[in-house]
Amino acid sequence: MKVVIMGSGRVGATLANRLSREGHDVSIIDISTEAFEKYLDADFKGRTILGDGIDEDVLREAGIEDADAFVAAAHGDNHNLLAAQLAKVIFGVKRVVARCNDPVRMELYEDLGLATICPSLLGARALYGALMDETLHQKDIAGAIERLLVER
Amino acid sequence: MYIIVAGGGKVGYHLAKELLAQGHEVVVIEANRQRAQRIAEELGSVVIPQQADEGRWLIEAGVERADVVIAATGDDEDNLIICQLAELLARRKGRNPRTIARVNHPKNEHVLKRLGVDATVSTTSVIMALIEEELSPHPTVHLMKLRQAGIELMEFVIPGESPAIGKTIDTLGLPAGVSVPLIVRGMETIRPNGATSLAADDAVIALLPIDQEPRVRALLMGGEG
Repeated sequence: MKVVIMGSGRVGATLANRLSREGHDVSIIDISTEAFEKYLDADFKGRTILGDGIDEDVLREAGIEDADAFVAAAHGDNHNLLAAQLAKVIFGVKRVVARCNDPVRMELYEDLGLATICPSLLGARALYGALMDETLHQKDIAGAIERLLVER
Repeated sequence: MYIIVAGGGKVGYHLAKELLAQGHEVVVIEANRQRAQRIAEELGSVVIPQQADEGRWLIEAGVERADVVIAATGDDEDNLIICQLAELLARRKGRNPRTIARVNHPKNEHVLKRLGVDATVSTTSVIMALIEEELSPHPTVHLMKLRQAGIELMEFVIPGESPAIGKTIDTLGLPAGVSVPLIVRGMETIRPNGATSLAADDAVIALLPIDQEPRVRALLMGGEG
């Protein structure tokens, strides 16, 4: 798959690394080269494009016109929602996913037919799951730490 | 009219002030406490000191009964989302407010319109248009685009060498769907009919399908269609 990703933070770059390892053709966009250096693997095989992903010319440079998928993984919700709509409506990309932290906004855009991922909802759900999972809380951490100290 | 102004910076503040002076009912949403306080002090209690791109504050501002929502922040993406949220929230109540977005980057004008914003205002484009009008002896002016209907209102000033001079509205060969509701000739305004003929320097106000603009321009102004 040819994938364009906007945002090379922890989330975007981790996804880019994985897709690149799996052999996908990845282009990743960020406004700072620092983000590329910080989070992309040393052997990352994709392309890095410096620029703002809500600029059509930058998206074109990243190869959006013949991309199979676009992921908006930057920090700002509005930034992601605009970029995702550009990809979908203006460039006709089939698979588009946007990161959106605000659950209310997410719901409205899901209704419009945009696939969105809400890290805050997912995080809360995962924390809830861990909290309620009895097996996770049987372990004796105090004992384990004590043993660790003794062994040292 | 009931108008929500999202963003109370320089643009939003002056806009709200003008609209209030014209007798409209206005609410400003501005997250910056200092700015919000200043607006409250100067314009009265018409401010919601919150983020305009969060649905609940748009609802609190009365988006479900607003006639117009103006997104006037300094960020194009925020202005898009504000307009879209307003539209989506109002639609739940069967309402359809007119949404207007301030656009900072002229490139984004067509993007925002394509994504459902009714009208965009770009300071850069406005100044460019003014410069072009100043420089051109026979300008055409886009007066208004009615996006949903796919039509626009334009003004064409007939140049001296135009093929349209002496022809009547009926014999011009205007494409289907084009109408000419008004001609301004000097100080005179004419409500034309099919038999009205055109003269040089007439300002022809035409209502036309957006895709017919080049054809109409050629018929009225001469040159290639």
